[in-house]
Parts: sequence; structure tokens; C-alpha cells
Amino acid sequence: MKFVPSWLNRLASPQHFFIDIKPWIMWLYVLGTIGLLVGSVWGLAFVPPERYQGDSFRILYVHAPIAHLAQLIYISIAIAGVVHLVWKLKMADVYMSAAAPVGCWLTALALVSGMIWGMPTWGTAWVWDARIVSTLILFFLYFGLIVLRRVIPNPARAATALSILAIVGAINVPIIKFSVEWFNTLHQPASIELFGDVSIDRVFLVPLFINIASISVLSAGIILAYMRYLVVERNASMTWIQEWSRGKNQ
Amino acid sequence: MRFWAFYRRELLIEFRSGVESFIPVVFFLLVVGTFAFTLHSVFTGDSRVLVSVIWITTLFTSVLSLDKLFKRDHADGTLAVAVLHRDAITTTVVTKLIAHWSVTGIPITILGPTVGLLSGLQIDHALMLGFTLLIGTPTITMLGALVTALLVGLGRGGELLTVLILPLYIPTLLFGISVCHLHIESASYTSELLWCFALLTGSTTAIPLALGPVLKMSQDS
Amino acid sequence: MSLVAGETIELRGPNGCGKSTLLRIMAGLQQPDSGDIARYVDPIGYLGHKFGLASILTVQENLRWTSTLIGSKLDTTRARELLETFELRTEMSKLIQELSAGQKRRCSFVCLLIGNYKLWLLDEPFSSLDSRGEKLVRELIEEHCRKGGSAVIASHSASPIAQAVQVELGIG
Repeated sequence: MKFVPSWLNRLASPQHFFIDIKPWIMWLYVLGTIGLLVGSVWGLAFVPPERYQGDSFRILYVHAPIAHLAQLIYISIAIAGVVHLVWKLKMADVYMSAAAPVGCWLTALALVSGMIWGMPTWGTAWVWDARIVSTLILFFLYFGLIVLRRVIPNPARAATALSILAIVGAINVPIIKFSVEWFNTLHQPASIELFGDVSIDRVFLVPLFINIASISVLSAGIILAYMRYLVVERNASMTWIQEWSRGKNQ
Repeated sequence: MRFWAFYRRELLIEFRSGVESFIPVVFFLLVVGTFAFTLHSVFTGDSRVLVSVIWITTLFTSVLSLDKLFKRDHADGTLAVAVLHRDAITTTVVTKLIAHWSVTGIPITILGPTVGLLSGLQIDHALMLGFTLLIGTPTITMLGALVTALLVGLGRGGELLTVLILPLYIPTLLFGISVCHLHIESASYTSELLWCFALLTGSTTAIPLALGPVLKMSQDS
Repeated sequence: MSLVAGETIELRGPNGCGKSTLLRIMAGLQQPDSGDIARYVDPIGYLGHKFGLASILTVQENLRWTSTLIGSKLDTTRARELLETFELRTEMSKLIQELSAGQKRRCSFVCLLIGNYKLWLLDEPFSSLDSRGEKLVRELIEEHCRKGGSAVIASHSASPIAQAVQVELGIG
């Protein structure tokens, strides 16, 4: 493991992670919230309306970052799964357990925001469109991970099972996306794209990127905070946790 | 030699359990029958609906039958014994899956098109349905076995299995149905069929190797 | 703790002190919470609380399966001799589910012998056996060790096995 920088190596131990990561969380929250406010206000109030969809496209500034992140987190869970299976790192398991619920919520939010966008654009909240279906399946995959974690009482076994399911799921995610799109083109005319095929002006993009970055930062903060919580829960019997909680009570 | 000895054992167990081993097939007929009766003219009138219903029912039948795949062996302790023979475990599991496929996959591959024919599907469309089921059901068995192996010994029922497996079945289902639909519409289906084969090859080569370690891990309760 | 060929360890201790868990860890069926284990024999003959016999197969079919697992054909004369010793000769083509618990336990031992394992991990080997059966199994374990095999046994039996090293496990 000599290729790994020492700070990363240090974070692989629950104790160091718990202590070192604490100041970061607050900064991630602050940065993420400010960024989200700036990006959203910019996107909602200062960007001109889009040529075809008018104002309804503005939900894109919330929807697109969430939908992208939801997929990204699933892939990251699978990578953590590989790390867990190969190096038996405890923190990889903690990451999987913490990231799965966050990803699940993001997927749900992506679906809901997509429905809100669909109402004025398509005239209906739900269309069996390829992207919606593959997002829905992603939601089920996340749900499966969370449930699997809950039903296996033995933590070591749960972690291994979770890794395997996440890896199989992640291999499937692109195939699912692909197969759903393919299948849909057989039966339905192409649906309206969120941004049509018009070339996108930079005016629209800047707040979008700000929001993508902010939501990523905010989610990272939430995942890290949840990871700290899980570290406490799993190491409750360790002396360093007990010392820490004693220090806290004084 | 080892393969045939194991295969014989698995089939013996299937036959000894008697009428119980017909449950998946009866379930399949029951569900397809219910659809046919309630959808009525839609079912017999549109070949595409018919094909989709048969494919989806195949998935549900698979989940139902996989539920008990390792249950008996785990309960009587033979799974633990098998897991301890490291150089035999892959053969043991693969044989088990092939035996399982022989008693669920093959009957459905035959029954699906037969039901289709009886409901007015053209013979070449029925043959294509049978062919897609033939190359699709092994993929389904493999993927399902992996997830089932994760849950061995937890005493959890089929609904958990369903929630975990069905999303993973989506590509197999969609490509299988696509081939049939395109064939019915007289369009080209080569790339979809190649995808079916890709999924078949991928799952039948990778998953058997993973099953041994997964089953061993699942002994840890 | 280490174990070499020809040695027998008898694990003793109250219920819940981890005898079964230790055996399962030794077999590799369970991961230890901490610490490591090195195994130099493969496969291992493990006999747990479950009998390890397929209940809707006959005695003979189960024996055949065991020999297939270790990659050989069932030596029928040897199997017949062993069944004779364990008084199971007449039950040979009976289904396992028709046997009594004691007979199933005996049958598990026949499987253990058919498997030619060097290391035996036996969890409560005397449970559900009558006094004749217990005596038989005792002799069997002693003979196994004389021939250079080793065994780890978790037991509650009042009289310890002759050559066994006694290890007392405590709770905590």
C-alpha cells in the first residue's frame, strides 16, 4: 500500500477518520449550502427563459445535479465494494452503508423533480420514458442495498454481501440504461429532451455547474457525517470512543 | 465423472420431492392463464402482449423457484460439507444450477411457446420465443442464484429475493422481449440477439466462480 | 494454539463459551472477530450440530456423494464394512429421514471415514448416541489419531478421550 498517500492511509482507520474528518463536515455543509443558494437564485431569477419551454426548464438546476449524483454514488458504492473485498478495509464498508441511503434519497428526489418538470412540459407527471424508467430501477437497486444491509445481522457478512450486490448492480446499471433506452425506441417516438437539441448557451450553464458542485459537496458532507455516526455505533465498545464520549460529557 | 455423479444426485433429490418439483411449472401456467383470461382479446389478439406476458411470468417463476435453491442443503448441513471441499465447490454449485435449470428452465422453454401457439401465436414467432427463453433462462438462473446465495440461512422469504433480483433481471428481460417483438414486426433483431448472447456468456462464466466464496461466506450467520 | 498430525484436542467448557464457534472458525465456516488462523490441510472433515446428510437420499447415496466430493468412486466393500461396524448394514437403502437421530449420527461418522480426512472437527460427537455408539466413536477417534490423523473435539462427555489434550475454555 505504499502508493497510497499517508493522509489517506490514516483515514482508513476508524479512529483517525472519526477525529480528523470532523472539522471538514461543517465546511462542506457551509460551502454546499452557499453554493446551492447562489446557483439556484441565479438559475431561477437571473437566467433568461428558455426559447421553447419558457420558465419550466428552471427545475433543471435542481433536477440534473441530483440525477447525476445519484448515479455517481451508486458507482462509488460499487468501487467501495471492490475495495472492501480486496483489502478488507473497514471504512469501505462504512462508506457503503452511509452512501446507500443518501443515494436512495437523491434518486427519489430526482424522480419527484422530474415529475414536477413533466407536468407543464408533457402535461402529465409520469411518462414511461427511458430515463425515468432507468432512474426508477436505480431507486430499486438502492433500496435493495439498504434492505440487504438490514436483514443480515452479522456485520462482516453484511458487508461482503453488500459489496457483491453493489458490484453486480453497478455492472448492470449501464446495461439497464442502455436496454431501457433501446427498448423504448422500439415503441415510442423520442420524447422531449430537457434541453432540446438547441446548442446550450453559456448563460444557462454557469449556474448549473455551480449547483452540480454544491450538491456534490453537500452530499459528501452528509455522507461523511453519517459515516462518523456509523463509526461511533460500530466501535461503541472501543476505549477511544468511550474516552471521547466522556470528554464530551464534561 | 464428478459432474454426472453430482447431477444424478440433484435430479434424484428433485424427483424424490415428487409433486413439489412441479410447483414452478404449475405456477407458470397459472399466472399465464390468469393473464390470458383477464386480458382476453388483447392477449390473443396482439402477439407482442402475449410474448411479454410469457417472458415476465418466466421471471417471476424463476424467483419463486430460486427461493428454495439452497434452502434444503443449508437446513440439513450438506451445504456446509460441500463448501469445505474447496476444489469441488464450483462443480457442485454449477451442477446444482444446471439441475435446477433442467427442471424449471427447460419446461418453461417448452411450455412458453406451446401456450403461445395455443393462443394464436404464429409458429415461427413461437419458435423465436422459445429460442429467446432458451438463451435467457440460464442468465436468469445464474443471476438469481448469486443473489439467493447472499441470503442463505437468513430465513427470509421470497419477497425480499424478488426486490433484490428483479431489477437485475431487467436487461435480460428487455433484450429477450425486444428480439421477439422485432421478429413479430419483421424488423432486424441481430444486435438485440447478440446482446442476449453477451448476457448469457457473461453470467455463465463469471457467476459460477463467485458462487463458491459467496456460499462459504453465507455459512457465517 | 496449534495442532500437529496425530494430536487430538478436546475443548471443554460451559455452554456459550465458544466451543462450536471455535470449531466453525477452524473449519473456515466463520470469520474470527480478531486474530488469524492458518490451515494446512484440505479438505477438513467437519461434523457440526447438523448431520450433513441429504434427508431424501438413502444412506448409500449419501456415502456416494461424500466420495464424489473428495474426487473418488465409492469403495462399496469398504462402505459395507463400515456400515456393518456401525450397525447400519440393513438401513443401507433407507432414506435418511427414516432413520433415528442416533442412526443419522452414526451415518455421519461413516461419511467422515469415507472422506479420508486428516483433520476432524467434531462438535458434540456423542450427542444422540447410545452407550454402544459412544464407545464405537471413542475407539474410532483413538484409532484415527493412532494412524496419524488429528482431531479437535468439543464435548460435554464425563470421561475424556484417552490421548486428547484437554483445553478448558472460559466465558469472556
